[in-house]
Amino acid sequence: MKFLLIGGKRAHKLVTQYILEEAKLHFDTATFVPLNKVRVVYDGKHTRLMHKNTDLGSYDACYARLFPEDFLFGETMLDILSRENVYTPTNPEAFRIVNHKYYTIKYLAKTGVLTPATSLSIFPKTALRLTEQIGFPAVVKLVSGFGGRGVMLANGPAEFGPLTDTLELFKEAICTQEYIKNPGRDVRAYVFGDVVETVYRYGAEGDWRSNVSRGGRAEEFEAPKEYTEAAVKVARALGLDFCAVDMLESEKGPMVVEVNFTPGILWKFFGDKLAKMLVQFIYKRTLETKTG
Amino acid sequence: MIVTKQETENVARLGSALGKKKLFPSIVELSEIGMLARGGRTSVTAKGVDLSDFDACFMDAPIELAPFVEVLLDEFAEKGVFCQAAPESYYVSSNKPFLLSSLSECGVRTPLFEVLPDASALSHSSGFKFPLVLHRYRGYQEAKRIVVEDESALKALCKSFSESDVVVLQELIESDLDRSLVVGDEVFNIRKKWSPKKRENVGRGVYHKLSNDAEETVFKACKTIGCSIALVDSSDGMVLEASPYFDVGEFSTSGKDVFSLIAGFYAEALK
Repeated sequence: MKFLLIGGKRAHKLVTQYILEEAKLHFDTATFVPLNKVRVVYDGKHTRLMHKNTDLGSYDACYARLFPEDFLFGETMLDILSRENVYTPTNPEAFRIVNHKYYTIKYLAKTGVLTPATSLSIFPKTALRLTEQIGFPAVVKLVSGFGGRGVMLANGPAEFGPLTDTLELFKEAICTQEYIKNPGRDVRAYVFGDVVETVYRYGAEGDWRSNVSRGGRAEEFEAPKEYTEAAVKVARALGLDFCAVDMLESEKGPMVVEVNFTPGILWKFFGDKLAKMLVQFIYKRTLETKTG
Repeated sequence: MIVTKQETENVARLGSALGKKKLFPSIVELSEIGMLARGGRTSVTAKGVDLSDFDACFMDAPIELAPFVEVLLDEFAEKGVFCQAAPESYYVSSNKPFLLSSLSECGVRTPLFEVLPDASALSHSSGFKFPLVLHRYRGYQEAKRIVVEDESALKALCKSFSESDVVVLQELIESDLDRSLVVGDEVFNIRKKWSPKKRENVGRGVYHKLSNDAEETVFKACKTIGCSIALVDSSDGMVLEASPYFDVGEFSTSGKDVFSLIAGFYAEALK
């Protein structure tokens, strides 16, 4: 079986190396192609995904490490791979939903998992009306930010106004969310089918956001069942075989705040452990898919 | 209700046409609309009014608002509010590579195209025929559309592009442009002449009856993006664009009362 790794514009070299090394132990071939060398070509009959003269639809499995800035191209790419029966742990529809902060929460609201009250509007006055219902302090988010970027905290209307005015100026939709009190950390659950690996993520000194990419840290942690069950429920509802579900420890239980289709594998803290788990899972699923 | 970015003369005329069919729409501006997900439930309101209580909506929102409108349409669809556009229609139309790929895979003829994740992929592209049309996208927004005469001009042009710009290279169809408005099972088409000198379609467009084959292509494109009312641009039988957003006034030259036709479509759909 042939494995393909496509790295988006922000793909980290070491992560690429970990994934490829593990893939070579399981698959017959393991190839890496940077996203900026992939093309979508319509020849009058079919739309194909090409790298030089190779049709990437000929691979058995593909893991595409895509980031929000790869979104426009990534959606088309995943759609073509899916049509060509190349196994990918991310489906195009989920990719679209998860890339939209409000759509994700709206979608999850149907599944019964706990989510923070979240609003969406395009006009600051309307955003304020909705956020007053949610209550301050409130989190203001870019609809498609990532890694903690575009996530801001407003303690009251005076801080809220300039943030939403700026979003309106840049023609961005305004997503606001209930602020959930937390002990300076969140729970990230990596979902590999039914297997869940959980870690605590702590924010950097003085930062209320728990993003490791912004100078925070992570440590392994065996989460209570309710956290792992919530994470699997979320992944299944979205049809994602692999993802990371970020949860806050609220008084009511695990509160799902975000789902990531390309989570960091936190190599600084766990080395190649998560990359290995991911590739082993992709291999197992590809084998199941190909052999029926 | 008619959901619109702002009240215009066309919105008023559509409102009046719907009124004649006894539908009497409320006009709701997009800036007033807010969506809220709380306690496992979702709601959509404008100035305190629950919009899910309406029976139907005519969505008159520009494509660049797709990240908001897609979710709004999804909310309407869930609450049983009839709309001319399916939730995915705005998303598909706003993502040009995805639109072209979806159209071609649904058997709708389109010009040959190639999508590059950024201009640096140009060196790997597969020998395109010139002249061609280059579209540059910055996020959802089309930042540039230009006819490129040869490879050296293409390379020079792409040097100025940023790393995050998606580039679509498309075969140039040097032919008249058919701009069709699909309303249910009817099509109104205006034709804009091709100017070889200007290398673009010019003029306001005059009514032109499409052939049966061309009509079928237009319907198929409309269905692909999930709309019962949509604008489809085609040239020489190949679809260039399909969108749920259009300027109704542009079709006044077709000699048909398009407002009344849309109103009739809604009256029928709500029976």
